[in-house]
Amino acid sequence: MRNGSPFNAVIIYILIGIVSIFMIIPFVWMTSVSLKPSGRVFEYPPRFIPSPATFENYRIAWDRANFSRYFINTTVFAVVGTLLTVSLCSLGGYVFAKLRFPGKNILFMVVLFTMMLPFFSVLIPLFLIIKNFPLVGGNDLLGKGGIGLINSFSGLILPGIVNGYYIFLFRQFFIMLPDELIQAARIDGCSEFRIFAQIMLPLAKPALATVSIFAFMNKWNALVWPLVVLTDPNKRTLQVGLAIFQGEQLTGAQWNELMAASMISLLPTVLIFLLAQKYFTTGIALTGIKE
Amino acid sequence: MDRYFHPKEVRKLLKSKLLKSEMRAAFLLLIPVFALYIIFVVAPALTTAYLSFTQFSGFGNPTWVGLENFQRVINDSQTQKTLFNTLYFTVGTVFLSIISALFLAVLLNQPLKGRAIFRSIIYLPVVAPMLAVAFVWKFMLDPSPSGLNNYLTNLFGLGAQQWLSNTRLAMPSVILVSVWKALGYNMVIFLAGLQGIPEQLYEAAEIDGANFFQKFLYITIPLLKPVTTFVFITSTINAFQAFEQIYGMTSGGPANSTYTLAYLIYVKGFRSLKFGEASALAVILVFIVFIFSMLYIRQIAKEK
Repeated sequence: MRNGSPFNAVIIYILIGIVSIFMIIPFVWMTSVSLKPSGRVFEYPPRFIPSPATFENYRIAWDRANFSRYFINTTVFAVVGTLLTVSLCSLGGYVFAKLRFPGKNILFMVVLFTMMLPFFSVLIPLFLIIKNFPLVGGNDLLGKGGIGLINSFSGLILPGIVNGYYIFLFRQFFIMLPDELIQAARIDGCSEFRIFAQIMLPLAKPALATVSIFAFMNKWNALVWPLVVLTDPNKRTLQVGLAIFQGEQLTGAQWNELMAASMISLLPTVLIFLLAQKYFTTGIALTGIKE
Repeated sequence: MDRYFHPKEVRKLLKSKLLKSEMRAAFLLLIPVFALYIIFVVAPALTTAYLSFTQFSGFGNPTWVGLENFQRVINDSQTQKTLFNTLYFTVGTVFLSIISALFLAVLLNQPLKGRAIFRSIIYLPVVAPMLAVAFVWKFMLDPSPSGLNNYLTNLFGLGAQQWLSNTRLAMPSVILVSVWKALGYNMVIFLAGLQGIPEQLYEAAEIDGANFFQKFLYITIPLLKPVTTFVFITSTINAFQAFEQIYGMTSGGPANSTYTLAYLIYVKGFRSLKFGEASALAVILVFIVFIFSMLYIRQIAKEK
């Protein structure tokens, strides 16, 4: 197919060019509108290069609409959440890949089975579990009386730490590493945890990088869980802040501010993508689609 | 004098001792993982099943009502419309995703200069938060006479279109945005699949005088079948859970024409506080998604 295709290079470039424009126009438009002063948002004909350009919308979103606060909250949530997710899921994946113990297949089936569980199907019980968490947030031992972990950092972070899909990815990776390394370390009297942490984990760098990036992206971009678990304005993440900010805009007149806020919320993930592109495709290879 | 051990015996002894410590280690290491797993995955799943048989608003205790929630949601015209919409959305998104991603992957599989840049541009929407891009699309599709949408539709002579406030156009618009968002991901998967097809097959076909379309039809399509199945099933599972694009662009409107299952679960649960009914809908969602998951697992098992 690479040879003798009926499309010559020019036609292919035109087709890909059209698609690329379609893919990138929303980002260009978002950038453009975020830099326009309020009177120029609905200028006709529409202009892609704002003149005059202003950073006023960013200042309003960052300071007055409190997106600086949301930015810090989201960073802490995504970084801490990713670290915990990667540590525990790599551990789980390693145990399923390399250690022998009774009941392993059944436990792994549980992981596979819940891998496909839609998040929306557990949304309500998760909320109830977090709200009725015993002995925190004014709750008694039975989880009654207070708000539990609602509005807390733990409530935001805990439900997303263990993820069947990531455990599965790590297992697929660890299974490819040779058993001899583990056996040699055991003969030398190395503890099982040290074998995992100091010998196997450093060998799993590609998997670690891929899962870290996926987990970070998912946490950074998460909307529905932060939306139901956070009600305190000071604890909001960027996506929740964005949802609330849009609700506060009464007319279309503040589209430029909303676009500036949207830009703030997507710049970090886009930057990470541009800097670490190869790990996005490794991840796809890891899922087992290619070999 | 020490007792003499035969090497075989030594190995056996060492093995059983090691096996024991290995087992102990496995269970110890799994404790933190499974503690979280049970609290935040297994228990919620079972609770959903239980709540679907109760009436509950989050306060006091759930009251057992048997199958009432299921009867109610199945006979409710909004749920029926929602199920229809979800199906419409899923079929539309999955079909367009596969066609467009495969087409692009074939184009980008050619040796072209600047291929990596095009690939990055097409992948960009995948990493952006859905809500932020839903907002910019909503703005671009805004029907105001001086908006970008009106300018472009006039440019192509289509006349003003109310993309998101017309009951016939709202769902296709949401589908288009969803396809746009996932296109890069699906394309990369198809590209990986295309690169796994041996070049010799095409060369042999060429010697036999096959043209481009024959090669595509008789080599590419059949050999991409596992990859296509993967894209089909993952897109289907994702489509059944579409939420952010609905939340950001239409809020289920106009006239409920873009209400989908995930959005209805959210609204019933957290706006109307009907946890029982929302759980019944969640059970229906699990049921549908599990059918597709089983298809997926069967496919993987067949490949191995």
